[in-house]
Amino acid sequence: MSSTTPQPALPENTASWWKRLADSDITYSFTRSKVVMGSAFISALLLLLALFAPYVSPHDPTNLASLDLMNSLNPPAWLQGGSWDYPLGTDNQGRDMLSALLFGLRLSLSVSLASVILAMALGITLGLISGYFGGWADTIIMRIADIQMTFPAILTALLVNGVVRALLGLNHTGGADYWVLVLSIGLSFWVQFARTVRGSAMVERSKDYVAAARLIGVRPTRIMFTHVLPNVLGPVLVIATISLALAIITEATLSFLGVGLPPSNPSLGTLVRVGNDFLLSGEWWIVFFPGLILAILALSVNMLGDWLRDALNPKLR
Amino acid sequence: MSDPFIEINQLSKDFDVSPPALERWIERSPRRILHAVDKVSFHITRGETFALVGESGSGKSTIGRMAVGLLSPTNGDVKLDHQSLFRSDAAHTQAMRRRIQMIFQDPYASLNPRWRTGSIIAEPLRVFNPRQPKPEQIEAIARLLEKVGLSPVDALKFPHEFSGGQRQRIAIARALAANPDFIVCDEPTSALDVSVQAQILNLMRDLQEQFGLTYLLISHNLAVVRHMARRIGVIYLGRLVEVADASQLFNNPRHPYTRMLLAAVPDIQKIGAGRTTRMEGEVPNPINPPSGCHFHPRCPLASTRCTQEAPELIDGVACHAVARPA
Repeated sequence: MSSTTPQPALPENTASWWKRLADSDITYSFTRSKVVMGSAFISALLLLLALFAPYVSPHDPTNLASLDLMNSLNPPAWLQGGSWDYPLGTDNQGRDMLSALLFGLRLSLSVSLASVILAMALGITLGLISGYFGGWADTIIMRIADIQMTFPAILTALLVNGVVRALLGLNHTGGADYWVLVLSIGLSFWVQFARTVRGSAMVERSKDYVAAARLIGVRPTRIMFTHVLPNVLGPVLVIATISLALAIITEATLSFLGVGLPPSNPSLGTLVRVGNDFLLSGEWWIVFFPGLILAILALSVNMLGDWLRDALNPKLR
Repeated sequence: MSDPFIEINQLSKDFDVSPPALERWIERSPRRILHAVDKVSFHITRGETFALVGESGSGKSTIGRMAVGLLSPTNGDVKLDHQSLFRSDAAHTQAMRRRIQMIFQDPYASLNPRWRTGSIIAEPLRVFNPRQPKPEQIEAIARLLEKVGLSPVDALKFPHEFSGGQRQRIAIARALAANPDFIVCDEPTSALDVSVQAQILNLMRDLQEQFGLTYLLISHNLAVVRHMARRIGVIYLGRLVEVADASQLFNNPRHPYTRMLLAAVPDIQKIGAGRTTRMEGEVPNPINPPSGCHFHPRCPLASTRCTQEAPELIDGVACHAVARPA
């Protein structure tokens, strides 16, 4: 080695992250479509409303002591008999619908996000193991996934829900409802992640950069998470977004069926269920507004997922 | 003959290419075993380049992967400095790994596309020398990049920002980072432009001189082999058919297969003149190779003995017709 080796001048990475993001293909494709920008705007708006629900809602729907039965079943403000104290009317308990809606949105979104994160963690781990190691681990994991695929997700969620409740002896008391819901939705969505990650991991495993890492004795778990994982994350992002929309619907369905969150702490689905009882007696607003928000939320998240799938697909550019 | 540094001893590798168990049972078909490498032995002296040539599917890459320990052999052994590569002793294996590196064929697949060049080269440093301080490591990376003709600034770039030849330089830098004695080069230039091939080969030769490296060069390109290797092994369907010094092999090929290979090389001197020998037949399916000497269906010198008995490698050539009686 020569002694005159110049001291390496390593410049700071000057190309800023924002600049690179702004110049990227994704950003370009994003700004090209008004529908996508609209969906992103609505999703972001709903997310912010959910996040700041305690600050923006006029009443506290979780404080049962503040409810007044004299104000029950008020119509929305612009109808006869409505008041601006309760802009979207009240339900049978005298609860402000707008506040219930915002808090319901908050719960629905947090349950779906948490369950997608659970499904993602589980699916990615199992998919990586399956794809990287192959053999018996692969066979077992993938057969379980196949079996689960034969049931609709909602059925799996119901099953998990029932089993966990029976095991823990829960009856809609305490905060465990939330986590049971997260668990049951999370466990019904991991298969998609696992299959996608497995497929990509099998491709990546056979590439020589993995061989180069094995050659110097890097441990398999390290190779899995530092080499293979970053290269399989593209499709995972797409599935996560689409799964989020599905998880929102699933949460609403479970709550509508009465195995989700209790009416004392309602999510959007619970609100629809409660409102359902009053649909025929003319109090349409109790079911209409939660349903509307639910539809808008699921639609805009789904649109985002579809766009992301196309934008990240090199064949569709 | 000088002391052998790398010894490949009766190395064999079988692959099970059977259909799944259930299918096999239903169709009552037997297991299918592919003998990719069949009792190959040779040695490499310290500091020299040994080349393995052969057609696609002849098993030369499999030998390379066994020589670095990526595949474990079905039979036989690889020894470096008289120490076996395949021992179930983790500390020993790790110590051996440090001395052996590999340069891969496709520089587009051998570098992780999500890692910066600096991290790619740093990985061997990190694995083999975990307590090295960060500034020293950065300096080492810069030095390695300069050794292979790149700039230290390139450490911050991603692989897709480089050309094929530059990527292969990065791969070489990564191999050197472990400070190895022995590098297996698996078709290091076959994915590159002809103009770049020579640059990479010359770089490899310079580095060999500088660091006293020993190369096992795997190639199907006879021009590359002639440029690089001192000794050459010719491999056909998993068996070594001839081992000789480069000059001897090119000037006086002995095995009929070697002669056929060399005759197939286009020669600018002989444009217009008819070929003296023609390459006849095709490489048989390695799952179901010919009996006896694998080469007998294509061999002009074949006799009945060749169809029954596999020839031993005697005095550098495995052929009944050519070998001098021992």
